[in-house]
Amino acid sequence: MIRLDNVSYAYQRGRNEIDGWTIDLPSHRRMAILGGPESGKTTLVGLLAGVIDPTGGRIERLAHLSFPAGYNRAFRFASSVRQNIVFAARIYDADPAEVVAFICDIIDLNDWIDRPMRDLPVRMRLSVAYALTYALPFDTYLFDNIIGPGDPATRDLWRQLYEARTATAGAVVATRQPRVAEAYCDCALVLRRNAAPVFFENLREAIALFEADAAAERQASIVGQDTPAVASPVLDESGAGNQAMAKVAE
Amino acid sequence: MTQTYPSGRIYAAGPRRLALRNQFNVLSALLFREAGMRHGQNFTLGYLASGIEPLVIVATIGLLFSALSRTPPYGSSLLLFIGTGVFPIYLFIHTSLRLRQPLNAVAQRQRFPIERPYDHILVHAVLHLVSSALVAFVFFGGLYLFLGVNAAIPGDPITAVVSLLVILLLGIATGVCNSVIARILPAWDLLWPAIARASLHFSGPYFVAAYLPPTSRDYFALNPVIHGVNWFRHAFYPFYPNQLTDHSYIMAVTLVLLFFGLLLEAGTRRYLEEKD
Repeated sequence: MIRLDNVSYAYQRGRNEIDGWTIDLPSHRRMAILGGPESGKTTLVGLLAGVIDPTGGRIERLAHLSFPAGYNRAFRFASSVRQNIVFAARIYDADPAEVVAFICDIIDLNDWIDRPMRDLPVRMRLSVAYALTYALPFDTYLFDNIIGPGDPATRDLWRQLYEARTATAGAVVATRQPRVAEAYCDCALVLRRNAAPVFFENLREAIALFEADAAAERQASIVGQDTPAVASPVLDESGAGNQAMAKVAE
Repeated sequence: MTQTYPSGRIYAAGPRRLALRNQFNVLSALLFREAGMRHGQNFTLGYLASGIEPLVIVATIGLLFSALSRTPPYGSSLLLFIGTGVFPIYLFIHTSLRLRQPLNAVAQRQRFPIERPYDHILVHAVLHLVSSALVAFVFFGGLYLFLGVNAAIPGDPITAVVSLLVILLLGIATGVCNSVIARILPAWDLLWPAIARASLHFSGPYFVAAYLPPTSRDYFALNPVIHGVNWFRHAFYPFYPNQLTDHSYIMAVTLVLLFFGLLLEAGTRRYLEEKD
């Protein structure tokens, strides 16, 4: 259980990104956070993870929440890959040897494990960050749009890791693509513009509300601006769940 | 995939024990990592390296005074007198420099969310205490063993320890204030090291503050470090003049700096997030 008690967050310029939300979220289920662009998905994941602190209100975490998946800002570039992994394993109370072995098993790190972090290619560094997320034992894993990095070849690997971990733990996946929610989650929180978020036990109802909201917004923008609406990214045509795999810039 | 998934070991424990355990994990892991790092670079025993600086200063002032063939300002050993001044001053200077980093904007973004800034402050304070204690043991022990200075073993060890702890706290409070000032005035990060090192000469490493002319003595008395130095010297010299040894003054300054430092830190945290 994660209790949000009158939580708000505002960036310096612009409106309140999150405005006095009071809601209980399940920590042991696979929950999607469905929301349009700039509805506060990333902010909410950041708040849950503790990467940013709320401007007001408080968050009570009755579970051990992860950092946002693929969090790589904390790596020390001068230290070796092994030192970085061992440090993360220690602070998150896992057995360092087990975690190192697990990560070496899922991504081929054998030539790199004792090299400094700064020598790793960007793509590899991101893979290490995601592998580390799955390697550490948490009650709830937090994802912001992306389940795993990289190319189609590794897609199954991350999916497999996600399924294995969420068999016993919870997950929170922030996304604006109903297909991703369908592929990875079984309940959802819908973030709405100018209204409090709504939690749905049933994913279909959540997607229905989300799509109705998106349609209403498009309608409003047509009426308001008298110009044809830009094709919404929600309607992007590609395979189910594939959007969760991001292309990493070389 | 045949690999077993690493599992947690503590989830049966209650929330309070879990929090304690997490705290312990973070502090112990940080302690071992930070001990071997300096400015984000690997540097084995990096903390002991900071002990070289006071040794060099003691040696330089000692050489200068012998070249000028001056007698020790107090007591019979020149090196002991300078050492009892330089070590507490450098404990202050180094903590006030090093403790700017835990609350620094860039450093805060480069952490796992479980590491809080105050974990880093605690770890750096402990590392400074341990490393300066080691260097002081080597220096004063060396004076006693190799140069036969009997006074190098403090007659009142409790005073020595207490005064060093107060100076350490003053350094932490100043470091917290510095990091807050640097948020608003980034050039402060360049100015403070110069100011701190220049303040060495106003904190009485090579003169007896009580023997200063009364007119200038009042200005020197404003510097809290000089009170700490005199306090520390009382451990070695039982009859050291106790003017400018106002214990309540240095403790009051420490508390005021710590209070305002923490208050302003909480107040400017938003400003920091918004700036980038």
